[in-house]
Amino acid sequence: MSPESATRFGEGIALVLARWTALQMAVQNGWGGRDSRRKEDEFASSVLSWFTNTNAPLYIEDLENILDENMVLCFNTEIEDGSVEEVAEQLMIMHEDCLQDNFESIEKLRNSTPTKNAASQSRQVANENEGESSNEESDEEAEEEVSEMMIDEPKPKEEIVSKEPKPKETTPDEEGWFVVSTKRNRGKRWA
Amino acid sequence: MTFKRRNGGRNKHGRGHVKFIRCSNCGKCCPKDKAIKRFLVRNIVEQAAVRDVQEACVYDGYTLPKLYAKMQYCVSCAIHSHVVRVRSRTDRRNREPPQRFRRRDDTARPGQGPRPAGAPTPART
Repeated sequence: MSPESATRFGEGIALVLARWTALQMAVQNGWGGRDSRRKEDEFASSVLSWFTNTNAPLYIEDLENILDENMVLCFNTEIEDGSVEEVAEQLMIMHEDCLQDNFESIEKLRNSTPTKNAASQSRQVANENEGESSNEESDEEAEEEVSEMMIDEPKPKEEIVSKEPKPKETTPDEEGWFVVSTKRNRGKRWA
Repeated sequence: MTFKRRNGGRNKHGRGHVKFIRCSNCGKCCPKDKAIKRFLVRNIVEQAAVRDVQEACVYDGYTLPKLYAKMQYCVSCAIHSHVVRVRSRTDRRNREPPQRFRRRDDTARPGQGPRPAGAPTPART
C-alpha cells in the first residue's frame, strides 16, 4: 500500500471511529480515564498499523478481536450490541477500496457530519438518573424504569393545570349532562 | 510472604482510605479503586427478539435504542462471571497490551516494556 493511500486510509479510520457511538461515548465520558482522547488516537494508529503491517491474508475476525480487546483494555467497555462487527466490516471495505485507490467512501464520510446527538442524548438520561436515584442499585432494569418514570412525570402536571379553568360552565352537554363544578373552599373547615 | 501484585490488588496511591461501593452483582462492599469497573453497551432488545420487535413496531425503520450501564464488580463476582481471568505470574504484569502488531521502529511503547508494575486485576486473556 502506498504511503499516500496509507495516510488517507488513516484519515478514513479516524472518521469511522468518530462515528462509532460506543467509542465516542467512552471518550466523551472518560471511561478510559483522563487520557481517553490519547487512547482513541492510539487506537486509530494501532488499527492502521495492523492493516499495513500484517502479511497478506487479513481476516475480519482478527480485526473484530483487536477492536473488542482494545475497548476492554483501554476503555473498560464491553460492547455487546454488535457494533464491533459493523465497524470492522466498514473498515475492511474501506481498506479494499484504498488498495484500489478509490477514496470515494472517505470523501463521503468527511462531507457528511458525524451524528453527535447520540452521545449527548444518552448523557441526559444518565443525569436524570443521578439526580433522583442515589441509592438505586445499578440494576439495568431499575435504571430503565426510573428513566421512564422521570420522562412521564412532567406531562400530567401540565394537563391538570390546563384543565382546571374549563369545567366551570354549566351549559348542558350533547346528551343533556350537566357539569357539576367542584366546590372549592366553599365549605370552610377552619374558620 | 511474597507480594502477589506490586500495587496490592488495588489502585490506591497516596491515600489512606477510599470509600466502598457495592458490587452490582452480589451487593458486597468493595473499595472503589479495587472494584472491577466495566461499561456495558448493549441493545435493549436481545439479538433473538430483534426481529419480533421490529415486526410489531408501528414506526418504519425505527432504530432500537441501546443501554449504557456501568457495572462495578467485586473480585469474586468478576471472576465467577468471567469478566476477568486468572493469569500466570508473568502474564499478570501486562497492564494494557491492546496491540500485538505494533511497529517495532515506532516510539509506540513509551509506558510498556519492562515496567514491573502489576495489574490491579487480571485481564481477559
